[in-house]
Amino acid sequence: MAELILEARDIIKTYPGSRRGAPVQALRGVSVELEAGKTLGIVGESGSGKSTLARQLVGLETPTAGTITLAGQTVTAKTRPKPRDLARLIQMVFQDPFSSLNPRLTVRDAIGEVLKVHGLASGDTVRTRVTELLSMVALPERFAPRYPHELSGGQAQRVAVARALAVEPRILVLDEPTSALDVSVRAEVMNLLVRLQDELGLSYVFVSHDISMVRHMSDEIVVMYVGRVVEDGSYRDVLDNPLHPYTRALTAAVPVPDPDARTAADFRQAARKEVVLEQPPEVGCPYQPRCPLAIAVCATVLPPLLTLTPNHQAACHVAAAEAGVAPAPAG
Amino acid sequence: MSVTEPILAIHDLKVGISGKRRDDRAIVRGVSLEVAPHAKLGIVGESGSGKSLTTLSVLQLLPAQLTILEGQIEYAGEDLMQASSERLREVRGGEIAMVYQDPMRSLNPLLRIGYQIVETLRAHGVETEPARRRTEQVLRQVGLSDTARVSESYPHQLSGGMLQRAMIAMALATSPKVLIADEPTTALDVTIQQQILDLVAEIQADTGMAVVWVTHDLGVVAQLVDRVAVMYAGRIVEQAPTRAIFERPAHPYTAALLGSLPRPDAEHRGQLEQIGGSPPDPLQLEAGCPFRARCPYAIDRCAEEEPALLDRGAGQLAACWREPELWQS
Repeated sequence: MAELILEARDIIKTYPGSRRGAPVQALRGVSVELEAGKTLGIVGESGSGKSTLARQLVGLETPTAGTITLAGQTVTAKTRPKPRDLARLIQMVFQDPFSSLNPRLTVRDAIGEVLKVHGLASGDTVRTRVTELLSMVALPERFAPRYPHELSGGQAQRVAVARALAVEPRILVLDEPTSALDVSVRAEVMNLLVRLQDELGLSYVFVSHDISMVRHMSDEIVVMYVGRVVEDGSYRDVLDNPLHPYTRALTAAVPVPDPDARTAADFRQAARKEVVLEQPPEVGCPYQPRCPLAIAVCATVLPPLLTLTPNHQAACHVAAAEAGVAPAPAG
Repeated sequence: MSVTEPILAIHDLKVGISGKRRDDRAIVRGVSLEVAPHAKLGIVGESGSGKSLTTLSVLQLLPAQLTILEGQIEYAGEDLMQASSERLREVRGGEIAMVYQDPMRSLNPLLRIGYQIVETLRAHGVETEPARRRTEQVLRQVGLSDTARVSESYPHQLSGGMLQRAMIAMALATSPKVLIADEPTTALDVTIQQQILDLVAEIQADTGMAVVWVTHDLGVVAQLVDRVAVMYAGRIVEQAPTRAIFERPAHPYTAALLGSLPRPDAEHRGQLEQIGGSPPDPLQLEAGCPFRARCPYAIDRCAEEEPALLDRGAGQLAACWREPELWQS
């Protein structure tokens, strides 16, 4: 069995509510795992908790409860490695490179700063190492003295990747890494990420609402809905043969760049249902109000995440019954 | 002239910075478009291609530092460039409505949704009572069936998808002849986007309103529109029926955009076709074709002369010196 480089168990994240409001449960018991050298894709709509999960994994926030294990190091609400040690292991690339790069630092200083803070280079070696890192992301040395505003979106994102790679991390969390870029440069950044993964043996957590990009990149995919994992499996199982009605609605709603695909699928109808609730129900399945397949039990019992076919899990009463998997005991 | 008279026609539009001491600097450099009633036109382009400026010019809503340098804009045969400001106010939000990517650009955060729609109708000459009834009707039409609650809400009390629907309801309230939509679904989740696309297609089929849909998403184009204009560096580089764009792109930029998309049947983690380079600065264009630096098919002529948008047959226009067979194979 391959090394499990990242393992999150039962992560709960609660934020205090505004003034007299109730606390907000952003993550309600999420478990994910990632094998070394592989990519875990996380999809879901806004508010599903996918970015919150990314922030817990990378150590920007500490989960309220649950355990995260990164290459053998354990992070919980009470015990965590020194932030600097954690940073050597896992790094993050954000959606908008222009807001994640300091506008007043040149490319050289932005990357050099990381090397100095972590004591990885000093004096002349900083310059050499920055050049090396830039060449890894296919940027010539002439970009080193530039400021972020002198870069295009694709170039700036490559600098952000080079900066993340400066500490030689084992895991990169990529939060919508191509969404802010022009369509014509997205392919370039995707190709770069694939190449770096192959060359450096990196493990990726790829968070995006762009399902075609997630599909292209990921080995395993988890689908999140209102703070929970509702489906989990290989990219083929989850996207080509989705079990959860939410995943089916999600995949059916992706506009395919092919005029022949203009057919109305059943689950497109489901996505059109009028209900747009801000607050999912507290009892039963959170997807139940939007679900075209909902049965009586869905309104009262929260469906557990069950293995329905080998290595493919879903949290749905109807899918479980169809797969012949015994429903969870009541209560 | 085509069989149906266009409801909206743009002729040789140039938009840019009007030079007092220097020459005029154009960002939109000669765009011509026509939309017939019942038609759905897509405008595709990246940031800086001039697609938003083109649509903002129709109702003369350009940002302060930019002006229409040249060109005509005709709505149902009427020259909007010559229209009085009073007449323009009538057309804006009345006969031609716009929706934007950010609903907060169209909605006042301090006023209730219902009040804003009623006011829009009243501004276009509808009495208060009929305006209220119409507001309820359009809110229901866009799928916001709890009309009383939505009407009483302030914008911040609604979710993103609900707000986008409310904005579309406001745009549709006056039964416009033309709806111009500038990336109205880009910030939304795919499930909500699908609802909005289906909704617009449905209403369009009912009312015959013409739709101009601006987007960078070729998937949306394939699903929604009949005809596509692809913009690059301030000009249309290709214009064709949707099917032709996807089956036999006549411009290498269109072909490259299509090639760069990860398709479901493509090799997992395989190389995506890169375009290389980045879109040019619209104010610092050099002579020749603006795409040539990124174009694998560029020849000497491309550096000397910018190709005109020419008819390639079957309603397909392209601005390129090379033969499309080069990249269609």
